Amino acid sequence: MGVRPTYGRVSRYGVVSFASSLDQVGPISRSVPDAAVLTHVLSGEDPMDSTCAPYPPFSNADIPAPEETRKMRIGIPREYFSSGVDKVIAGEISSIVRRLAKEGFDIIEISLPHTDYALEAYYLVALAEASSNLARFDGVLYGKRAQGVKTLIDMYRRTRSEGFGNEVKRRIMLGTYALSSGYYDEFYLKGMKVRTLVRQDFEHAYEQCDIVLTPSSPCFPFKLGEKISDPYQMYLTDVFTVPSAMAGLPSLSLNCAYRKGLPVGLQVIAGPFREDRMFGMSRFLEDMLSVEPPMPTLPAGKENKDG
Amino acid sequence: MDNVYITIGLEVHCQLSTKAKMFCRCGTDYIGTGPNSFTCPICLGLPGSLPVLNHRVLDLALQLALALDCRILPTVVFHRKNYFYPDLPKGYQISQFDFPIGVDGTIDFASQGQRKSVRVKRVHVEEDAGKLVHEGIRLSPDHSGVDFNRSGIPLAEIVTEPDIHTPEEARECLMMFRSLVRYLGVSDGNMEEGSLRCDANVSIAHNPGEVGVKVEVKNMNSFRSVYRALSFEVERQTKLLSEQKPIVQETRHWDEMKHITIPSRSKEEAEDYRYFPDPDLLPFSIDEGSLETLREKLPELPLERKERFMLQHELTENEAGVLASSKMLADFFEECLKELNKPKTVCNWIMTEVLRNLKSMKKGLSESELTPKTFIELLRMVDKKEISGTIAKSVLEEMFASGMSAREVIAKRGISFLSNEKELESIVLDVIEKNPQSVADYLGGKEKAFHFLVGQVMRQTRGQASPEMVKSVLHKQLSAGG
Repeated sequence: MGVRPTYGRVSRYGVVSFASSLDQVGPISRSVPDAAVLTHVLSGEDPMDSTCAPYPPFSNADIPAPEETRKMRIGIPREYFSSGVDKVIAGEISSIVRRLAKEGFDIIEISLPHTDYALEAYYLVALAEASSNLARFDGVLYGKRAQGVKTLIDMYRRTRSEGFGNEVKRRIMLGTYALSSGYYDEFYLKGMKVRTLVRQDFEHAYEQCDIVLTPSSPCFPFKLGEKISDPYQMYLTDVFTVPSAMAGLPSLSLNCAYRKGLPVGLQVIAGPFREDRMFGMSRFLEDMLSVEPPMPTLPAGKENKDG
Repeated sequence: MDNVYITIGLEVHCQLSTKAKMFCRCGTDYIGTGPNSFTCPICLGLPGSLPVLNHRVLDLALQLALALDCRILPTVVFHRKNYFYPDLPKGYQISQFDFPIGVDGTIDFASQGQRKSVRVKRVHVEEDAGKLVHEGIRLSPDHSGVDFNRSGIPLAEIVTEPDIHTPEEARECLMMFRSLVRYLGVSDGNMEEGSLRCDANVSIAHNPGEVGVKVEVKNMNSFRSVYRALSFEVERQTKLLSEQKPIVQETRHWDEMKHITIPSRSKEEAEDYRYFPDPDLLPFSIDEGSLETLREKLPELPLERKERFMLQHELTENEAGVLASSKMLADFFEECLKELNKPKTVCNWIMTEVLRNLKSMKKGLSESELTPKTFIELLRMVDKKEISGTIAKSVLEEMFASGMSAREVIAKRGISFLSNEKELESIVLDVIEKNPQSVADYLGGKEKAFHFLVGQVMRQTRGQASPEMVKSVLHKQLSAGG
């Protein structure tokens, strides 16, 4: 499972920035308790990071016990179960929600109306910031410098052409474009406005519920490099994790089922700085579901001949 | 040639006097140290580093904006100004864009006895970049070095409206600005050392109110070069205009050696700085309370002080202007008046002797050992005619050189001052006796003879008597004898 704490929960000092207003350090672990321990260690105020919140570290002691957890009202956003979602995934998540209802949870259908716009907005904001953050890799002071260059412009051009991969270059180009004069209002600024709307969606939601459950992805994991020629399709797989990132909310994705050896991700989203609820709910789910990851089947003929 | 109307606007950068840089804890006192000795991962823009604002920067910039009578915006937002240059390690400069510290201010100054007012468009803060070093680096002749000591030093940028109409006014406006930042203590305002930098936009037109093609002039490193560069530029543009040749909108550099402006290498494409709010820094609210505190703490500003000096102490415009131009000097003057309330005398001595000594020692008043107390002790002696002005001048010189008090200098030199009228009388009588012809000439109406007699007395006293006293004693004895 993977955790993204609230934006500002963990210092970004020492982290190579990609998108400064979205970057957040979080653990990837085998179990919820492990993730919680790591989050405790990572979090806390840092005078070296202005965006780091002046709060004490998240404490494991704050995680509610199962009987307390059961009192949480669970919000299910209808936008996350639209026609674009793989039916198997939607079915799995829905059955888990039914089990939770049987466990005594209050299940509330909520709406996060700007979900559809969050993805485009996210890419505008993230790539704009990335284009600026990656400018320092220019061959002057830090990192690679292309050899045999004649002029300054040549040095910049070749260092960056040789040093960055295709996806990074694509992102820098898109981000630069979004910030360009004449396009700023249309792209970056609009992206920021959508971000505010997405955040407000969640604020309204948390007036009705304590925690939000969604699928982590609309589709099963794709093969490495499978969508490289169709970046939009590739970016689309982020559609459900991006809104909570835009709102800076803590979220956790755990594997709630396996189908044909591939995991189905369940996302647990809490309000700002409510990692306690996020971990409480996730631990409850982990215990309730007790999912065993399938062992990978090794291809024949690759076994150790001595074995 | 018809009249031309000159329009000038200034863009001034001044280094804010903070102990630490703008976004890291590196010191700012790097002058005289080796390159890159005042750097850290933050001001070097290393990956993973993040800026944290030094709040002192806001305090100083707010004081400046308040002194310029700006409207203070309630929220301070930092923007990234993105461009590639080797002295800019992050690939962007942290600056301000649409939410500067202050807007709509004025800078008032006196120009030829008239009070002039230039509108200030905006005051904002930004970080300085590093500096390219082309000579003396050990790499190879086709390499340049970068010194990042200056990187991250806080700057305030002040942009005026094009309200200036002569090169002289531009110089005066800038001098008032320097005086202002020094009064406030927000910057040392030193043009030669680069803590005060000025660019100017110049245009000329045939009709007042009409604004011609704007030419930006850069690299003016002294008040004199501001005046010279702008005068050159006005002349150059006037000539083009009269020959009906086009004036090109461009940036030109002032060449200090050749005394001309030359076009800077023009960039092929228009700059697009892709400003956007820096996500590493949160917007800051300026609270009314602390703003009010800063406002109350503002000192009396140079122009007000000058005008007060003229009224209260009956100084001339020039005298008041010189004294009030430096807070240190003006404070010194007023401290002196507390001890000896003779503004004209004190002013004359400061304007001539004190400033002359400081100039020859290449020192500021703060670096010298002269205090109002020691200075006034000397002036009192002159005032009471205990010593002559000539002696006092040489005593003052030694006071500056040695740091001794007036009495110590006198004691050390072993000069016995003829402060006693009786002593002087005997010398005067002696001179009268030895120069009967001159006495007769004087009594016969020859004024010159009197001066000769004064000179004789002075010679006998070896200059140790006050001429005033000599004159009065001589007068008395001559009229008594006659």
